[in-house]
Amino acid sequence: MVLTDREIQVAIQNQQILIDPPPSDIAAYSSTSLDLTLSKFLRVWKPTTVAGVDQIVCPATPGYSYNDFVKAYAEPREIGAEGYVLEPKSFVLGWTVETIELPPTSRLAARVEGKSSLARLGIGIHVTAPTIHAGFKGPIQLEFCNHGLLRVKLLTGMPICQLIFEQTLGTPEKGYKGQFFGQEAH
Amino acid sequence: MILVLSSNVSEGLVPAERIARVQDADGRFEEVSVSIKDIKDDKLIASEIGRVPGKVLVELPRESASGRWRVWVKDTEVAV
Repeated sequence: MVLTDREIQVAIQNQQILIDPPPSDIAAYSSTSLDLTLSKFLRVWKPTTVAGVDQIVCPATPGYSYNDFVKAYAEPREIGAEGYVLEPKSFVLGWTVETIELPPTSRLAARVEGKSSLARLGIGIHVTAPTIHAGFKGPIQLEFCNHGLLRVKLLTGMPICQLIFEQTLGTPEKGYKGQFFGQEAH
Repeated sequence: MILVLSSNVSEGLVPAERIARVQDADGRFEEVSVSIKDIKDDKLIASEIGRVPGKVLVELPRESASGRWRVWVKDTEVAV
């Protein structure tokens, strides 16, 4: 079941959903979602295509470090007052201002989804991994892709994505600290 | 919640995150980007899922770089 705006607010009041900073404006809600905003932090992938050089990344390789890969191939940038222009066909990592925490005992999970205002311009904010699992803590990492034909400016603090909260059926195993390990679920 | 003593923690991509590398029971490393709230005393806080002799199955706070959520670690490498 998807939570409505009223249920999201109740869950925040009851600390079943922790958001820092909390929504300052009721306008951040829609009937069934809560908007989050864009932080100043970006990682911008460097061009890796060199004529005659075939570069391949394989995450399944033993010892693969995504962190090392990003640090080597994606430049840290901070969005200034002038904003950041997302070029057509570009791919950039970003984060939400808000940090989210969904305690596993809250029986809640969420999905991060784009906003139609940006989608209409061709901007995707995630690449097929929208699930915010029960127990998640932290800012939400976004994967921006400009599928459109226009250059689109991103500004710090702009509404960038929305969270849709869903009730889980039961508490995940980690909420029980392993006490039911090996037992069959009923 | 348990502390994974074998975890090695370093700076994340943004101030609110850290990178933790966890050594599994077979000696392989899993790298995971986590919240600073998932770190205590420079060690990763994970969830215990179960135990067998000598090993503990832990669920990482987020999916690792190789796509895993759960890893077996040596029981000597965790602390309650």
